[in-house]
Amino acid sequence: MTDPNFLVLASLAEGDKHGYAMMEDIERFAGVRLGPGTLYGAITRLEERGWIRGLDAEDRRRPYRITGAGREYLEEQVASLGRVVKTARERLKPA
Amino acid sequence: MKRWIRWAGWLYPAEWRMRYGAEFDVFLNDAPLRWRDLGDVIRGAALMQMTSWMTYWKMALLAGFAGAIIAGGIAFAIPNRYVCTATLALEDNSGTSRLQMAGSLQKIFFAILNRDNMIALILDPQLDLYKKERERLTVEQVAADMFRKNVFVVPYEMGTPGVQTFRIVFSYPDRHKAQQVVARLTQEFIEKELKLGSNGSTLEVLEPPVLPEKPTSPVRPAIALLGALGGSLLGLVSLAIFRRMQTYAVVTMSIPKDTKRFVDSQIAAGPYRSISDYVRELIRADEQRHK
Repeated sequence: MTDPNFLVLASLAEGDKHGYAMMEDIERFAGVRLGPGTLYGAITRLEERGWIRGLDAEDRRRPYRITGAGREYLEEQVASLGRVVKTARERLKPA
Repeated sequence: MKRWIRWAGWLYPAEWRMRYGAEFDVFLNDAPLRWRDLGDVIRGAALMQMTSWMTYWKMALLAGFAGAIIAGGIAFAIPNRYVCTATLALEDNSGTSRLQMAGSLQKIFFAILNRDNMIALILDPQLDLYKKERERLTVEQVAADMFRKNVFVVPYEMGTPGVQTFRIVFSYPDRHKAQQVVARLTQEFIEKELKLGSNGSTLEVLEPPVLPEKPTSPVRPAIALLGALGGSLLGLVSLAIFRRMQTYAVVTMSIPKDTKRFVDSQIAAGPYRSISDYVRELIRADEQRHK
């Protein structure tokens, strides 16, 4: 799962983070390093869709928070992904 | 490297930089960057430019500029062509009709531009025409497909009875060779006319072949302008398609044939333009009801 939108939402589900903190967190839990253009592209899209919102900047570093709609979307994605993972796991079991 | 990436950040739309520019700068300071991040930022900026309004103008300008550069490059790769002309007058006081004179001219023209004569001109060491082309084509092919298609005898009226004026025209990338070929053809015309022409006819050179100063083609500014227009158009169409793909999701539906007939009748009678329009309208109405 390398969709930047999903990874950013998954990172923010743990708590508010600014750009660099998100980048480090995503690299830690997903093993994927999002480049600056990709990360800020995802942040822009998610904010436009109302799934995250920017908080007041602290020392020019603006933290972001997942919104209710964002959490709902993430839950749907996780459930859908869970079904795929479950099915794949069952099919991989030796007969 | 950081400096390059920071410069690439200026490729983002102004409104984006207003909103995210400051924190993006801090992010670039904090994060350990790699060279491939430069490509990532450029790609991100290009995508952001394509999704930002106001970019139709920018896209038209940018794609037009790129089109002009590409077309200009192609135009400069096309070799110049120079056209050399000689004007001759065939005078016949023996009462020969204009039609007969034209026929006589044609006879001389075909006698000069026969296959062997064309090959002899092409292979003449002083002229050595179509050298590159002869590396991939036979000299017969070059004579028939290239030389023959670039040499013309163009008759035109002067209004004087008993006089048929005509031009010998040849176009070639080398202006000196173009002039030499026309000079040779003019000379051959004179010689052949003495042999083949009627007794009372004379051939006079009104304007000898002059070394052409400027090429007649390619018209590079016109090609670059066409490239700019084509580029702008292509850019605008690509952007419109990209935006549409970003905005609209494609949903495939199956409906009973009776329902489809009903929808068709609604489209024919109502303000809907298509089935998609009709379904979108229904969904919008449902959304409003839920609000």
